[in-house]
Amino acid sequence: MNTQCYDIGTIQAFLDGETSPGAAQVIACHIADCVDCSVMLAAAEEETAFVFSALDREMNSLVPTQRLWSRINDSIEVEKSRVPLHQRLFGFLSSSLLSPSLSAAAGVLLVAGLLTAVWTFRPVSITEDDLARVTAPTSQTSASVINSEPAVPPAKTVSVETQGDTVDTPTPIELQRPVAEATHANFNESRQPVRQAQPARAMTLAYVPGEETYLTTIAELKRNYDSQKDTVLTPSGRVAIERDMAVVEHAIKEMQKVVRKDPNNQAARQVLYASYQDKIELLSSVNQREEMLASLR
Amino acid sequence: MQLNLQQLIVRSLLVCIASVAFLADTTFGQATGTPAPPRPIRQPRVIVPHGATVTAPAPRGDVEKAMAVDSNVNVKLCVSNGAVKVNGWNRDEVRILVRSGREFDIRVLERTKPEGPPSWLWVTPTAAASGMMGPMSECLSGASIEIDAPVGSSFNITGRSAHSAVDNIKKVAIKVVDGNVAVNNIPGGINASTLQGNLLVENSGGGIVLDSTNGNIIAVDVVPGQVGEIFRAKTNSGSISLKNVTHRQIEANSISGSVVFDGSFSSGGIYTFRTSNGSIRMNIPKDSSCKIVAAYGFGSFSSALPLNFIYHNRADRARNLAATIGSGAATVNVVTTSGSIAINPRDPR
Repeated sequence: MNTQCYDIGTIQAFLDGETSPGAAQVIACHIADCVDCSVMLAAAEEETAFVFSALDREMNSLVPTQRLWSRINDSIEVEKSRVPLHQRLFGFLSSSLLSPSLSAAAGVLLVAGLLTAVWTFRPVSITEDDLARVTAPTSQTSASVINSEPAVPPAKTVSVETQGDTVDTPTPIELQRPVAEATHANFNESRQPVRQAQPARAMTLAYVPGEETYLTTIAELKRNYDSQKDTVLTPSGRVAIERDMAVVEHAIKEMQKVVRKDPNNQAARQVLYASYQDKIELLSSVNQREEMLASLR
Repeated sequence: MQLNLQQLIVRSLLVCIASVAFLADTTFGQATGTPAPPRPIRQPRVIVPHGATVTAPAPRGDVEKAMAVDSNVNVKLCVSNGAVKVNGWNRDEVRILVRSGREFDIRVLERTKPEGPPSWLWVTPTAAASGMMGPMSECLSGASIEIDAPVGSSFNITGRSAHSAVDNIKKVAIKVVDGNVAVNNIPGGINASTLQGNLLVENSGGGIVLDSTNGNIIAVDVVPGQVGEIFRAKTNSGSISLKNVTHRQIEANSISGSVVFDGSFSSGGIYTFRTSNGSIRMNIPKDSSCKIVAAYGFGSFSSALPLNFIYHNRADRARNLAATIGSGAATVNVVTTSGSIAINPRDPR
């Protein structure tokens, strides 16, 4: 046993854990038997406690050590290695688009793509002429529709055909696709008559309430108008009627677009109905003229 | 196309046949040398009904006839061409003068009593003078047709090409294919229709229906005769101008023309102004009380009077609004597709 007392520096080192394990055991045995050294250890402990309590805020602040820094860097490297491919591509594109020329080229491609999409999926307004063709379809197409698609309600079946189809391909093609696809299909049909042998398809339209009645009435009146306009109307009167008709039809088409997009748009529906009414009155005026002339003939 | 070709062939054949017939007639006529006999000059044949006053035919083909009638007589006539002028007077007599025109008869269709004055007349060409069959043979023709009738009389006029002016009778219904129609001082209602011409109504009342295809419609100082009578004006290409029209229910509809309303909205009234391509302008007093319900597709809306908006949908392509001026006593529906809607204070003068 070491009977010599330790100085305050050694006791402080022992208290701070800075001595070797062997020396710390010897010091601990000595302090257990020495009153002076135990008093010195108690005083050192009080001083240490006081200092630590005063410096507690600074001592507890998270100051990363070098080892912590190294662990953080290792984790970052691992995360970098796990980045998915699309994120890497996005980063590449982001850095690439900083170049003006590359940005312009990408913009042109984007606009072209959008235009192509709009052209492909553009809505097609169904006019009363189309409906007129529906009311009197050929028996062949009607039968094919019934045979191929019995679940389609007949009232909602509309055959869309362009004028070119009417002239080039006498048999109308009926489609069961959205309108845009229907129109494209018909254009294809006009170029490839062989495809007429395919089963007919039907198309479903969503009318706003009452619109179908308007269209049916207009189709009926339009037939009378077409048969009478050459004999009833004077040239100036026909010009006036055709001009007014163009105005009304433009209004109908524009409002149809709005209503198809938003069927709950009350303003568009109101204007659409008013335009339908105008067209009915226009067509009726020709019939009335015919009746009046007949009564005076 | 086939039909047109057939029509062309048929018409060509008809023209050939007519040409051959004309040449043959000319040739044979010259060969025989017999001039055609002169046509006899027919004197107007006058039917003399009860109380009729007959006037001798005037020179140059003018024909004038008159008849004592009931004060509320109803007169029906058709005019193939000529200017028609109807004037009310304070005599129970109908006088008709056709200048340079066809002979005519005044037929009595109905009397108030068996021996009483006629209450329903039909003015038609004399059968022998008309010399043809068909509806048009029932229509008068002349340079002008002037009619004097009791102020309580009603007229039903149809015509092909006739500018018409009706003044100071009770009621008129007139329908012409081509011609302007001017109506004044008619308190009992007007139903006027012209396919090609303007319509002018002034100082009149009752139920009013005005319909023109290509012409303008103007109504000034028009009042309703009874509760619930409607003022309705419709034209395709023309404009509609209403000033001091006090009906509680007014409908004005044009397609490519404008609509102008200058007057007051009556309490409880329903007003509908519609145009597809034209503008709608309302000049109303500053103290008006009405509810405006407007829908305008691509047009615009403006008001110089303060509005209390109930809702206002300012969408891009189809807009509508509801707003009140004052307490909103009348309802005004306004619809235009691409025109403008404007509300302005009325000039107090």
